[in-house]
Amino acid sequence: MSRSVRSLLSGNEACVEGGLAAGVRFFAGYPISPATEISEGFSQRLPQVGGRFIQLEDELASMSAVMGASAGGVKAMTATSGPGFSLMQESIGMAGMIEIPCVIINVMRVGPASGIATMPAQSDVMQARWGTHGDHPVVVLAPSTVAECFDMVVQAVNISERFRVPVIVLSDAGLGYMREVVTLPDPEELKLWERPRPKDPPEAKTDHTFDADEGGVPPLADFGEGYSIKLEGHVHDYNGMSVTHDSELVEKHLHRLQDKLTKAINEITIFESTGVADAEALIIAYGPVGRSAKHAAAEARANGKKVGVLRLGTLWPFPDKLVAEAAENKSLILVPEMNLGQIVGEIERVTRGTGVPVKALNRNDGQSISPRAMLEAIAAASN
Amino acid sequence: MLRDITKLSDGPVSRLRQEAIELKHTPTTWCPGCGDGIIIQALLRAIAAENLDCRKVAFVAGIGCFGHAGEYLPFDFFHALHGRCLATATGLKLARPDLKVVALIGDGDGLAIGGNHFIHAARRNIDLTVIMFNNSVYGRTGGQVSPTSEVNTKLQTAPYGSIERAFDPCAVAISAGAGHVGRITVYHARQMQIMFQEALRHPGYSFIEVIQNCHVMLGRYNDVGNATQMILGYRDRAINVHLAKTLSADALKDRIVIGRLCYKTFPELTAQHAELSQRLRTVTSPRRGLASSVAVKPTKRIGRCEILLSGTGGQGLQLAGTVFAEAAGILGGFQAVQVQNYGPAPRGGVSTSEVVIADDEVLHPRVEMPDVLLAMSQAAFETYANKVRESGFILYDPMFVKPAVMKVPAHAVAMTEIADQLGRRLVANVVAVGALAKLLGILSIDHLERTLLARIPKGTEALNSKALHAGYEAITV
Repeated sequence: MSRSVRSLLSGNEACVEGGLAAGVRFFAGYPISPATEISEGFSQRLPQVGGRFIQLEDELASMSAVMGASAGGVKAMTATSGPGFSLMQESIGMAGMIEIPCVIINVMRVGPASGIATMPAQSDVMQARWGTHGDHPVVVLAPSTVAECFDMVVQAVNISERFRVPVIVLSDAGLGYMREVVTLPDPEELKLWERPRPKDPPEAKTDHTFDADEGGVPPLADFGEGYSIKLEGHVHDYNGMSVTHDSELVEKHLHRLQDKLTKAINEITIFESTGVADAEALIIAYGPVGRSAKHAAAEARANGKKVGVLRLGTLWPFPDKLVAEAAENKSLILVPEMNLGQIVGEIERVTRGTGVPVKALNRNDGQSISPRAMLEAIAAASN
Repeated sequence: MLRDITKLSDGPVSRLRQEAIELKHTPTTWCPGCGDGIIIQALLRAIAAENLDCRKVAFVAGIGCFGHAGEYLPFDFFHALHGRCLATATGLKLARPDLKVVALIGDGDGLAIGGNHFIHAARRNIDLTVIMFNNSVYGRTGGQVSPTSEVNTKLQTAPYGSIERAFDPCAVAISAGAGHVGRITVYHARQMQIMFQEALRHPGYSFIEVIQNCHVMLGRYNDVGNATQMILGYRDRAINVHLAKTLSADALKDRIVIGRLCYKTFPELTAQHAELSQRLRTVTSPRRGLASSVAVKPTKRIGRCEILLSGTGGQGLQLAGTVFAEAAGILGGFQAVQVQNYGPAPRGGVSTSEVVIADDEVLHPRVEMPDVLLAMSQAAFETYANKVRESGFILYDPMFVKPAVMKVPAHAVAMTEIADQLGRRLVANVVAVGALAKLLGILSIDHLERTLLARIPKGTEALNSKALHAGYEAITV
């Protein structure tokens, strides 16, 4: 019998439930609004299930500890908001480089620097992709409901483990604090993905931590198994030995980090398509703005106007093909974002030359974008 | 360098000896005469002498010349970011307390960019064996001034001589709470091995500072001689800690005090975590509020209903919103969302709680045009009354609100006064829930009561029930 439970949860609480259900047993963090409830939840729950929670001295330490724990073979994650996310960037690149599974939740808030700690925004979309140096691989997911906070943290852990890549979940202050009645699935019914581990014993020396065919994901042994593995932050060879002068090897290594995600784009891409096929105007949105967009489209349909919504769950790697196909023959694409315009640039890139006009609708004052504002923007652009 | 390990006495761990000298790892990245090799040899001898299982020894290193050591050795190795060695090692050790974790840090790596982790790792007393390669210079980047460079040392970024005073790493570690602290130099290779063995055995945080030569990057602008001369200088300047205790501060000037400087035991972090986990093994946190495994079908269609509860922080409006959302979503079978807004102060200031209840998925989660407004302050009334939908209504507390004439019905219920009469002003919010429930007519009072009783502190059930029903009865239309 299924043990699914219906209860009233906040987005932050659902992130904790999702992490636990996905098998996360290590969490390191540093207090920051509006993400603190995630740390609080893990601090309460992890010791009960034999996991470990630690509050560290800063976000630099938090991300490093998460990678250290993951090296020990334990599913690990952290949560933060803008300022802390900035501090984690170097380590996010490190996680991509040494291909260590880990999940980072960024509960986004308004503005640069200290901004407004308790107001939502979507302004870290580009930072999530490009915030760290050196062409690193990363996957970014954006939940739009409390239920999806749970689902996407599970998916984030899964993707992170299977593809040995850091996965970022972009929530926001609105979603983190919002409470919604949700039905959480029975954890035992979830499909969990594990990281690839070596098949042969250490003595065989056949499993190389950084060696795989093009686009492949090499096996990662846990520390303490005798494989003597090297997690090396410098560019390294197939065994983790640092490399400086073999440009062919450097290129092969850095390309594989990206290729493994490109090759798996279908498994990684999460999206929801509502009335896209026959729509004249298309709204492309993500996060909580995506659900408001569905509201706007439903209202438009009720008034006989054909509006569709493509809601992106996976923001990076950007789903070029999905967006290009959805955009075909539309009279308008509206991209509402709670920032000054970030993902809209990707949509313009993908639709370049098709003649479909792309219009941005931006707001970055901590308030949500209402369905009415979206419909007015569509009407204004259609006139 | 590492090849010298072949001349060591037979250790019990032959694999360690064989693999550590694999020629594919030579030449190392270290300059001839570098002290790194001496330190690593002593460490390997210590690990062998302690008969540790190589599979269960893990190395973590920061960035600096020393950091590459882990690549050459037959252990699991995490070459962490510059400065982050101790934070990385903390995560690894906490997740895998069965591993013996050896952390290699530098003077710049450990005390400048990683200074924060340095003090906190010591404070936590996590079982790490931390070895600092202190050559008083950023050697890897070509010879810049480090936090342990002595005053007047000429370096690439201190061309006129260093002005700042140097850190004493051991003093920092001791004052941060490290239990086991020692200092040694690369001249004292045998004693170093023994100190490493003690550090590996110590069940807590151990810190060993090894003073080493960088005759290349530090030596090129300072008259310190070649590698041999620098190392012999350590011999001449070293003084045993026991002997040092008998000497004056003046007599110790320019001397290097070596040996164990501190030994105390404290509860160890990973053991404390394990103990906590053991204690909580059979505990599950009680979930606040209702949880149901039964999916309920709603008895009627309501479309979408937007409720805005507004007043002053501390009036309990968030609880009121939670009760509505939970009763509707779990017992009523509807979909429900609650959004809380309050100012920076948890008490006082404007507080609003938005609840959206719908038959199907709640799409836009915010209240744009409330069907229902509860106003518990004049400011709330003035801000939101004119936003109420034409088919909606307002409920207000006359103690706080003097209403303007409105197009929509406005009901006055003396919620705070009723709560006062019941003995606690705090339950005015519950009176409001009761009154709203009656006016709204989509949620049963039984459902609201069950939800409420699952959310309030034990012992206040009777009072809250009374308040809920008093509010319900206060509406007579």
